[in-house]
Amino acid sequence: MEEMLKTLTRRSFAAGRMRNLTAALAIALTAVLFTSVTTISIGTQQSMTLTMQMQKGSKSDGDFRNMTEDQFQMLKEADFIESAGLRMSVDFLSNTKRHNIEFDVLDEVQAELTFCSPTHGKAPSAADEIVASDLALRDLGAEPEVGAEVTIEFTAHGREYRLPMTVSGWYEATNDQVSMMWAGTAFRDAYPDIFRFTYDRDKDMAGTYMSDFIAVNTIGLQGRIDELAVRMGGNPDDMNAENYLPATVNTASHQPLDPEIFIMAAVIAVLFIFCCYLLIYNVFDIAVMQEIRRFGLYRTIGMSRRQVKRLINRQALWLSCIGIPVGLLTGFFIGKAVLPLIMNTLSTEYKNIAADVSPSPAIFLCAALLTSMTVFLSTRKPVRVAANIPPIEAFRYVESGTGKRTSRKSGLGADIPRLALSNLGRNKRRSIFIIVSLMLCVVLQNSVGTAAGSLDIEKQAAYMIRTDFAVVDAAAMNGTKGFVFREDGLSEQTIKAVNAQPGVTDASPVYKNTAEDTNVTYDWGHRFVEEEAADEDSVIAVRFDENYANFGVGDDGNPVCNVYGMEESAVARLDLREGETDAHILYEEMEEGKGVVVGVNVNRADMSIDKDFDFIDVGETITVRKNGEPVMELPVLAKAAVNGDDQEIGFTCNGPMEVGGDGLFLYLPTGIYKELYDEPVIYKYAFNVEENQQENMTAFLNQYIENEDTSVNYLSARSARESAEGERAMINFVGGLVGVIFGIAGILNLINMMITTILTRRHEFAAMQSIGMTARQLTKMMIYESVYYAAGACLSGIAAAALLDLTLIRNLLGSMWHFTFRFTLVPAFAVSVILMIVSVIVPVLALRFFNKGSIVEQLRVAE
Amino acid sequence: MDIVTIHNVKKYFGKGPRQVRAIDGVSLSIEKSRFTAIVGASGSGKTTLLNLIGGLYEPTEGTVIVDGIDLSVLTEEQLTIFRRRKVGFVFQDYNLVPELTIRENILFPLALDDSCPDQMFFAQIVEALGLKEQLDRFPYMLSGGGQQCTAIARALITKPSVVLADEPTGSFDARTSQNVAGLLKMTAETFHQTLIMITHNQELAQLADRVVRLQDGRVVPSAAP
Amino acid sequence: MKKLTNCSERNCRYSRRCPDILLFVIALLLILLCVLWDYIPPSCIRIVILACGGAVLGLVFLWRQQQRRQQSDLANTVCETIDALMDDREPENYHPYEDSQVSKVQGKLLQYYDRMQEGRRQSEQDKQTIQELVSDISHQVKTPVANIQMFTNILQQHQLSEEKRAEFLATMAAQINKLDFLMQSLIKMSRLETGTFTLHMESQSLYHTIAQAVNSVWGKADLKNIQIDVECDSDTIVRHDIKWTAEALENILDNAVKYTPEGGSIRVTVRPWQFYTRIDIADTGIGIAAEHYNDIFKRFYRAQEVSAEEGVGLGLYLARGILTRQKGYITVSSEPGAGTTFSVFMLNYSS
Repeated sequence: MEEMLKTLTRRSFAAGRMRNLTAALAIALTAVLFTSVTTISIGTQQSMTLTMQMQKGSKSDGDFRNMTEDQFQMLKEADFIESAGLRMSVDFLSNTKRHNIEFDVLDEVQAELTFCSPTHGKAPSAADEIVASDLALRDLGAEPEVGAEVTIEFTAHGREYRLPMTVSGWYEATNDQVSMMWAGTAFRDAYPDIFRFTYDRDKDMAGTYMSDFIAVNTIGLQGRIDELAVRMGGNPDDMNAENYLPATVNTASHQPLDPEIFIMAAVIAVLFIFCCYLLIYNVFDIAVMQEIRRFGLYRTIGMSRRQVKRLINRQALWLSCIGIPVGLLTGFFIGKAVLPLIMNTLSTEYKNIAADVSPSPAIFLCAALLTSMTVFLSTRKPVRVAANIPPIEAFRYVESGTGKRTSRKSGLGADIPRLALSNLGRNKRRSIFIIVSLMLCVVLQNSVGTAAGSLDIEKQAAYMIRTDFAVVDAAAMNGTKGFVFREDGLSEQTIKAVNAQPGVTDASPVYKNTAEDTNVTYDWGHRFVEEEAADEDSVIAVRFDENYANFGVGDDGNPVCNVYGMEESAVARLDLREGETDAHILYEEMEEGKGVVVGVNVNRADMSIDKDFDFIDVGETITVRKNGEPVMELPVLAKAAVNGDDQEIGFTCNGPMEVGGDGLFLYLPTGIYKELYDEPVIYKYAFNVEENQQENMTAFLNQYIENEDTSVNYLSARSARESAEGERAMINFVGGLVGVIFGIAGILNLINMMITTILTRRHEFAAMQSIGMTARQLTKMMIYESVYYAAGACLSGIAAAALLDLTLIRNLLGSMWHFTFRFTLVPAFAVSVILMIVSVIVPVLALRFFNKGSIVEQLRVAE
Repeated sequence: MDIVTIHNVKKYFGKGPRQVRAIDGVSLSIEKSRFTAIVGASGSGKTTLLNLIGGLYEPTEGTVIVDGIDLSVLTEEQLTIFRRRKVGFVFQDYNLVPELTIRENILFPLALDDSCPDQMFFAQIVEALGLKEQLDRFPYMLSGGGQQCTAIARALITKPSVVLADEPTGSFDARTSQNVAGLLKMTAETFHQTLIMITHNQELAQLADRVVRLQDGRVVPSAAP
Repeated sequence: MKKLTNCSERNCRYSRRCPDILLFVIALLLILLCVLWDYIPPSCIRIVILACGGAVLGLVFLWRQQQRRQQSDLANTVCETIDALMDDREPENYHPYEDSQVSKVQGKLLQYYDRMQEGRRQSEQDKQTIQELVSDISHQVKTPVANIQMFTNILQQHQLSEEKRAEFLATMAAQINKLDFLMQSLIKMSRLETGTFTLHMESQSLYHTIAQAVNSVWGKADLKNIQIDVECDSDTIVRHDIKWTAEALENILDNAVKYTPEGGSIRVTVRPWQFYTRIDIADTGIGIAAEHYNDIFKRFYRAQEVSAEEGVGLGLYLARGILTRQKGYITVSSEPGAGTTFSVFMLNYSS
């Protein structure tokens, strides 16, 4: 039996080339879909993880700190550790200018895990050899090359060191703010004084052992490392304890899985599986119908149901063997090509994303599995149908009308459109499948079109920047840094350079307080939770209120707030919502010291003032204290809704988060601001540029930040708009791709349907032709039939699209702030037009290729 | 010894006013190793009767006993096996599998049963039907007569209890008809097969040991032989 | 043929063994691996491998056991079936149409049993045939013998005139001739019926055979002024027994001459076909009704309307018998009043 089945499969494979090609194509398409989606999602996930790891500065599974040498040995010997690096922190170098350099002793494992393995040269071996980043070496006044000499200065255990070192290797910095310079263990052995362990007495990090490690198995890792820390005699929880031994899992490597993403992925997967199910089901259903006489014969001469099933399954297997690998490869490359595009879009909010994906077996396995599953699912029904048809019926099978035709009164003469219409009901299920798959294509394209059309670029751009241009320090544009210190301020030079350009209007500098301005505080009677939570990472003391809103507090324990000093033109740009809304009157009153404007975060979904951050009402008074003494009483004159530009720039808001925290954005006139603060610094220079000079300004700024002052960066309304448009392009592209796949599936189904119709009804056609129907009329009839399908699909598709648009899509888009729902049916109509055109072409071609031979011949074929 | 016993069998198609009484009370016994011809006008129920014997239809009423087994007690799957082992079919339009060679076509029913072919028997059949030279060809390369011979060989290869031939010469001219029918009779006789053949050709019916005449689903009583 | 057979044979024989050995090897390899492999640091992996090896071995063992049980089950069932058949009983556990090995073997055994029974029945049937034959012969012989007896009595007991005597003797001679003819026919028939004659199949020209047959009826035809046309290529070669085939043809021709009125014609046409050579013998005789097509070949059948003609109704029966023995056959088609065509089909070759 096996032999015969094999022979049968092989031979019929060669015979039904056209049909098999369609089936293999359908399977390949499925595989393409799954592979590209898997590639994209895995690639995105990998890239995001890598990016997070780079930001965190470690790709380890976790790390231990504050260990003694013995504890470190215990760690190395622990059974769940695969490899553990060695890191002995020394200090930040004190002789740097802009770039921060941490100087540590590392081993090569640690260097590899923390992205500072030398890409040029080699790891340090002698006591005076170091590895550092190119930026670090430049900052120290040396060229990044092996053998360069640098001098480093640092303090350890209260003693200052100044040592000449030789560069044994260097690497490209992943972060332009801070990088690691490291020496080998020889350095430790040469300076045992630096590495005395005194943490238990004075909490000095120098001399402690730290280690980033890779675990054998990451399941339940936190529990194990806590247990190990305790076993070492450390206390992993209480940071004030003498034996405090922090041990944490690297959350960048092990992000907690978001159930929403899971649900999204599941929904998409189900949708894709459904689409491919429709396609493959139809192809196989039609193939079985075409072969039904043959299966009837097999059944008659004694093939059992199981054997029929096995035969078709085997054919499906063969087709899968061809279709899946082709689809996997194609899909992988499509995914690889699309990935950077998607990452680019995502990178409006993440910088430095490294987008790449390697042909990991997981991708292929996953996609192949999904495809096989789809093929399996979608062949179940046709297989069952083929196996269950009683032998003699199948044997005499002719696809017949459902009796409708006899009961339907067809007008006098051959009314071709009506004749075509009555043919539609012949196979209801298949007709419905085709209409549904074409309809899905219309609906999907329309939904994507609506989403893309509803993407509110102006809203996004307006949120990011209120002026044409804004020049800030590079730190302010860095999502992980932000404007925090006075040194991040803009220099007079830069402002002068900008002003020197033609066409600059409405230019105004914006001042902002920094983490160093802790002597000016604001008190409006806000209640805080008593205990002062110390946050290791923050640059300023933080207090929380009962809702866990955090406030950076100054020397006297009152909030420092985020305070901005502005010109009138800048205040005029604020989105004033409550109190005095006339910017001119407001500014005059403020200049007279009569009050202040309070900014509140907006809820981006509807751009309303966010109640969670609405801490103070118009009319209430804020007491300003300087060095603990009250110096001013400022009533709240107006309340403004703040956007990204009002807080910092673009989407970054790390600066305000670091300084004032969630608490109060205060906008003061420049004069008052300068009065209050000792060292006022300009953080942003915002200005408009005349339309015809914008190109020039962009060119100038690009040139300026590249060549003259690399610490400066800028954002323009145009680039904000472009980045938003990138997102629209991605929606269009990804959505379009999915829509096109559905479209191809639908059209393939239509083609298949037409071919089957022609093949199964050849006899009928011949009979019609023999009684005088011309070939032209026949073609016309088939076109009508095909157009009916397309029209049915298009009409129901447009209706469904409209319905979906007004319900689901509107709600979905409504929940995302950068969309403003705009109803449209243009994509649906566009797709409909294409489908209609295709539906006219398909039957013409199908008839030409499949309805060959003379009438007599055809009459005989069907006998 | 009767290989087929049909007792008061009725087979109706459809329901209500459109009901067709294809077979309306037929009782018939067919002897082993004999050649029976079923003749009658088209629509007289010949094919339906044959299909009832072949286990392709279930009778509306009455019993069909083939080789000692009442077909109505068999399940669908068992009927399939029954057809595979006990019945050889020869159709008007051959119904060979176009992708298989003549040899594979002949051995197909055996392959379905996972059986190894009886080489001697195969050689004899092939020799008798003049297919020796054609074994590795494909059906479309053979004449109609050659294809029908293949179908006959396929029907015989399982050594079935009964060979059912439904107008095996229906699509041939008189000359090929005689040729093929003669071979069918000859091989059935040589290998001691029971042969039941439908034909509307009086001349061919003469080849049979017994002629059963059907009219409107009933057997026309004939003069005692 | 070879290819397919080899494949299936190989399948039958080795497919069951192969995974067996393969699994054994895998199991052994796994065990060997974990014995030799000290390097794997976590012992759990080693234990897992060992467990796998053990599991595979266990499975193989169970599988073999299962296989053996199935085999012995099969053997037992087959033996039971044979026992039952030897006692002429219906086998108890016979499941006729299952897709299983047991059912297949049982089916074949029953088929064999039937074939044996068939042989027994055949010989009984032969006995019956001979009895029928004897009764037929006695019936046929009865009349002429009775006549002869009657005439003999008359001749012995009565003084008859020379003239009368000669007449009676002539009648007696005719009866004896008829008896002789009958005897000849009966002998042929009985040999045919019991299958005791031997055919000498030779590839020979049909032309001569036909000529021989026509020659023997030529005289009678001439008397009735019937013309016999023969259309036959001299190079038509058919494998047949000359003597018996000529006999069969002669019978048909004789029949034709007998039922063709004076001045009619008989036409013999020979057409070689793919498998068969067709010999049509068409006369312009009285014809046969369609419902009697099958009857005319029966033993001692005489149509009512021709009862006047002499004959015993064995000619066509013999002709059909002879042709059937040569794997040929004979059909008839006729139009009452216009003529009859007998078609003789002779297999061109014979296996």
